[in-house]
Amino acid sequence: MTVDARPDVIRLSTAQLRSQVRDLVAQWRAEERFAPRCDSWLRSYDPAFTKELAKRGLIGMTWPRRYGGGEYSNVDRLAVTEELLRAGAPVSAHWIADRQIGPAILRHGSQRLRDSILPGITRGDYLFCLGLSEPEAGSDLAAVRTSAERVDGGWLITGRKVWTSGAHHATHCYVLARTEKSDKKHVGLSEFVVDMTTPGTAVTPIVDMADEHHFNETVFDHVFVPEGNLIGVEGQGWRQVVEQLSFERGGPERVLSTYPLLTHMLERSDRIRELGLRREIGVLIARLATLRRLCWDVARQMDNGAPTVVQAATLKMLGNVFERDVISVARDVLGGPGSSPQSPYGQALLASPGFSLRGGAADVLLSIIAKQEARP
Amino acid sequence: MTDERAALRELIADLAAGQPDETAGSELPGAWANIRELGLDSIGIAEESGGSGGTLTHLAVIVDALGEAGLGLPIIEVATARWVLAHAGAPINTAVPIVVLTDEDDQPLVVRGVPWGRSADLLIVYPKYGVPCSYELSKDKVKMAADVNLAGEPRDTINISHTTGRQLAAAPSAGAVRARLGLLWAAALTGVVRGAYNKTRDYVKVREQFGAPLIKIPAVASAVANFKTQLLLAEAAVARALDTFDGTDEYAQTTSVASARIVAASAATEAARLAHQLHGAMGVTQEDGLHRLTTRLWAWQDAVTSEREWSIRLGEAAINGGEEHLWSDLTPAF
Repeated sequence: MTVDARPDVIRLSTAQLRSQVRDLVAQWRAEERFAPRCDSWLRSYDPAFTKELAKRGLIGMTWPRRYGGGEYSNVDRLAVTEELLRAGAPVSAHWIADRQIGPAILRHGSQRLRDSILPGITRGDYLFCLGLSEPEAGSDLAAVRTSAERVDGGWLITGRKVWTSGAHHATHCYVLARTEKSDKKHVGLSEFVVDMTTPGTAVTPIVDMADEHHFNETVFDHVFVPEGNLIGVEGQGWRQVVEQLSFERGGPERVLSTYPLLTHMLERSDRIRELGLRREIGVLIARLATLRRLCWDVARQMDNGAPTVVQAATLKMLGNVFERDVISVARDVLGGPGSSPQSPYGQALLASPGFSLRGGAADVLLSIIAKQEARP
Repeated sequence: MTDERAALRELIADLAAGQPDETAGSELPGAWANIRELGLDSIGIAEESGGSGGTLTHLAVIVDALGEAGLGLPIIEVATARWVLAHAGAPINTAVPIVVLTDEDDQPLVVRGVPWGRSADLLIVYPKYGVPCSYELSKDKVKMAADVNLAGEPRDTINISHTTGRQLAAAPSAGAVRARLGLLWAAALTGVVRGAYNKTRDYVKVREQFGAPLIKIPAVASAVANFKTQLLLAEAAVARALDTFDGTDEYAQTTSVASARIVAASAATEAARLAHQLHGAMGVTQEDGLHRLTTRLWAWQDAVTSEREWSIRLGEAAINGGEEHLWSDLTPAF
């Protein structure tokens, strides 16, 4: 569903989009309204910043205008997201809705669901969390046990979701649930949008090793979900979610989670020289340049409607390795025995185990690539 | 462009089919005559300058395809030498002109590591700074000591002390030559990575152990996938560098070539390791032929300018320029 662009709406060039983000970020930093941090798309929450982006039309950029989108290309969106991540800006509030749930609703949701949810996302009011993983369903996502039972006018959802980042702030949760018991675990799954204020919904923090609260356990106890909140076709959830995950993987947040740490390092050129680390820095720069190119390739392929499964998995795999290797060089340049958990190095390091787990563990990604390559 | 590339690839694949690996200690391999006949060694040089026309991208496709076939020919050195001669206003169509960058302050008397030096009839020598000279290499005036690189390709020492050089005042700068050679070597290396990848993937799909093809073993499948990611990365790096050659910004060209060379060289290290590991002991035999690819991965990853040197240059640029430079000049894709 696309709506013709309205000629009276100004469309910015890619360069203008970049400078708009740079200006906003610079202003907020000058006013000390945020401090750049690593992994900001998961760990830096500020709904006021989200509203600022929404005001500038920078959420749901690629979506049709009738939902508040800008009908921009994925390449334009990449210019914006990579500038935000570069700055370590507080973008976690809207990240999931903007990146993956909005697009999923746009692809598969009913007209009513689109009309009721998407404008709230582009206004920066509706914040989503992801109800995918469960205590017994991690990398083996199809093993979800959360059930959705048919009742008059909708479903009753019951189950436990874990690692629901930002659930304590979210207005809505995307939930993958079983609508049909089947011998084949990929059959009978469905996707729903759940309003977090519905009775029976409970959020409990899961504090991480950095002593930060981003993850949660979200329990649904006979939570009523109206008919219209089903995304797509009942029972077709697996196909839809696999597609969603391939969209999830190919973005710059798989490369730039530790970019703010690289920025800190470059401020210590004296240390880098003294330690003889120019070569290591050079190698990081070369890989960063190439990974940014891969992000661009994926965005262009998305714009052309071409499949991106292998490219996106490759980008995520190698991007995560890059993110980690930035930390190892930073260990020499900025680390040391007195490093605190709050130091840029400490923050990045304590966040790092999650990089190659979320959005598909490295081993799962390798098996996706291998499967494609093993084809006759 | 996509069609043209496919056609060039096919042309090279046909040309390479059945070519023996005859580099070691020899004069030019048989396939060189075909390259010459087709004028592929003067692609990227305008027709009015005596070249075959086409762009640097076409040339990169050719050297990539030759690399994929595991064929070592002096095409990079010759095509670049002809390009230098064309810019200098000199005749470009001697049989085998070779260009060499040296670290010497002035014109050296002895030039080491000259690619295919024994077959060259013209040698262009760049000192570290200043004007390059070209030398006609007649057999009676030049002393030659033969040597080879890790792939058995000639890398000879040439004594030019009894030959008079001709200054090429209008020639491109050493930096421009380094960038062009660097880009072409990155493309060639990426081709070899692809050749090694394809051969390895085909092998583990066919070779059976424990009652099934090797690729059914999860550790093998993971290694294949890792190999593939390295190939995709190297391809992206070369594509990015080629794009900068559409413009005229020499600094952007040099730094993007640096990135491509570093990424391709590190992909080459991984490729050689994985290819041999997955081929098992068969891979180290002369008979298997994997060595045609892996010895080139090792020989070419440090061709002309080593991976280490490119890395230090790029690191230095980032440290000097700071974050804004890193983000907006050294690493952008668009």
